[in-house]
Amino acid sequence: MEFLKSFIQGVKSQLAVHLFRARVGHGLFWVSVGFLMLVAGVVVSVNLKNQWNYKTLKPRGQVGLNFKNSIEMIEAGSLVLGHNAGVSAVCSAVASAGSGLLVQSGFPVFTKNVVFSVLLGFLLPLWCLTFAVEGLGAEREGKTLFWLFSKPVPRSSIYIGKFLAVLPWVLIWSLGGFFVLAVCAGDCGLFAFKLFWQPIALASVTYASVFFFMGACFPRASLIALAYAFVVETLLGSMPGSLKQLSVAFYARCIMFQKSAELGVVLEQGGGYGDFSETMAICFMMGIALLFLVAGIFFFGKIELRGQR
Amino acid sequence: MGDEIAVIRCRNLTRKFGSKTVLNNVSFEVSQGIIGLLGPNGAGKSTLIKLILGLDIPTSGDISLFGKTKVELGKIGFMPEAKAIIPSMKGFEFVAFAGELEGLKRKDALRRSHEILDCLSMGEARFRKLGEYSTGMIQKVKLAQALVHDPDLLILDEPTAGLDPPARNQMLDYLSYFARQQGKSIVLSTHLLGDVQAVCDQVVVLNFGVCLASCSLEKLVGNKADSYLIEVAGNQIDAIVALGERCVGSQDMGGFTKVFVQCDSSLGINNIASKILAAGGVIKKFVPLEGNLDDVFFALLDKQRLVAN
Repeated sequence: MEFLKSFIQGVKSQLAVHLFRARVGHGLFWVSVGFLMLVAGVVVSVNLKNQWNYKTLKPRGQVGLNFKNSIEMIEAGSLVLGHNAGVSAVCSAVASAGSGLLVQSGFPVFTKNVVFSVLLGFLLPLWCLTFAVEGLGAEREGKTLFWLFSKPVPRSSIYIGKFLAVLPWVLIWSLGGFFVLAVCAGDCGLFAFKLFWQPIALASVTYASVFFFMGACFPRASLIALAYAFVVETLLGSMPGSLKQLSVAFYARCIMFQKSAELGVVLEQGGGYGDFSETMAICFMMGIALLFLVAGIFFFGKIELRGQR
Repeated sequence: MGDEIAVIRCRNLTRKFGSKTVLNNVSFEVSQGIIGLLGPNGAGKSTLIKLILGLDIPTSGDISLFGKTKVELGKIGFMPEAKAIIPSMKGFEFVAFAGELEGLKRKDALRRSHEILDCLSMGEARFRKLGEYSTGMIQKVKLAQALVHDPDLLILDEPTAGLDPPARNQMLDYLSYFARQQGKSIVLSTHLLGDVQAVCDQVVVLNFGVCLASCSLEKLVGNKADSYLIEVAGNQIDAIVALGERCVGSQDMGGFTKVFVQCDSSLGINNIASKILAAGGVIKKFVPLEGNLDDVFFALLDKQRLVAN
């Protein structure tokens, strides 16, 4: 009972103090802002050129006509072959279908190029680690951990309280960043945001748990977290085969793949994203988050503050 | 010590990190008052503080506070040497936060925070952010957070570090006030021997993990009636060995050794001189000790080195 009381007190006081005090002025934060602006700039530029569609899509090997030229040619064919009513009608139908597809193709093109590749493969881990690593990492660097440990509250309450305080910042930053990119892309982006904000939020919580663990348990955690983000999430996450299942992004992609498939859009053939059902992918991500949370509480409880005064 | 319960009692306390012994069979007991914890860098002071706070476990031996072996953190107030502040918090908020971590309710923590800060003459400065504070004000806030829950024992790690002489004197006055007027026991870990001589009643001297002295300050520095400084040339080591327990400390001056001696009725000045001469020593100077802690402290360290050699 005494433990529970001091545990609740510890969580409450950490939440009260840190919920509104995320450090936003540090280097990693500005790196995150920089990358958001860079990618948003590219998305806006593509949007201005009206290229969020299959217009410039070419067959493999980048030879031959692109998608738009092909449709124009079929339309022209229907006019040239006007004397043959049957052929002309087929050409017109194919051209209309192609034009319709062109208009609707913004969503898969944006999702594949921005959400699947850039956001999940690089930006999201970076954004999440910006706040999550700083959570207890800043306490360690600022040498307030030794002081905190001298207080009669369980270490687990410090860990959980601080994690809960950091979580809203991680979610605001990652969903906010996704929303900015979506707005920059226009209608297709906003459609993708509406469809995918949940898996992005879930992935953010999972990343937060992983990076918070690193910040709490390792010195120079920012470097370790950056190395993890690049090696596991960016490199392994984009590899063919089953190696990509080691990355958190894979399970977020699985959920997105299922959600798109329900709309009849197949986002990436042969990526293995169809092998996991939406429920399984959610369970995997929640399991990873929980695993790192428990591991963090355990190791944080065992930390020896050698050299700290 | 009599029937009075020792504030801190260490019995054969040893702490090893791998093959390195940081504290070696340390035994002492201190009663209510201001206790100076002295020792050069690497002496084991910080490790001893961690053991007192229950943040570390001794390899062997035991430690008890107020007669209890189980550390009650709520009875201890700790002021770390490191800055250990949250720069975005206001002074009174930080102290109240410490109070909440100590188990006080928010309302009580705020009330106590203002009381303590009033007592430390913090005035309107308490409403400013800690990031804008001078070193002196930070030290005061750190002291206030250690006092907020009205602990019986205060452990202060370098409380006067970085303070100018007026601020240092003010801090020492506060320590005297809390010990003499409010009956707190204070462990003052410092390198500044002048601070210890100014306010401490008892002293514990550590070096290389060994307890060189633990007694009242008066006993350690002696008084003019029964303590002497003797400069010995010739066979210096044999002379020191011959004096045995009477030799409180010695300091190698290159060519001769300063020896600090305590006499009593059973071993007068003449007997001491005889012992030195019989051991082959040559007495260059024989004067009453001025009661200077600096001399005694360095003598203790030198004696340890001589004996080890």
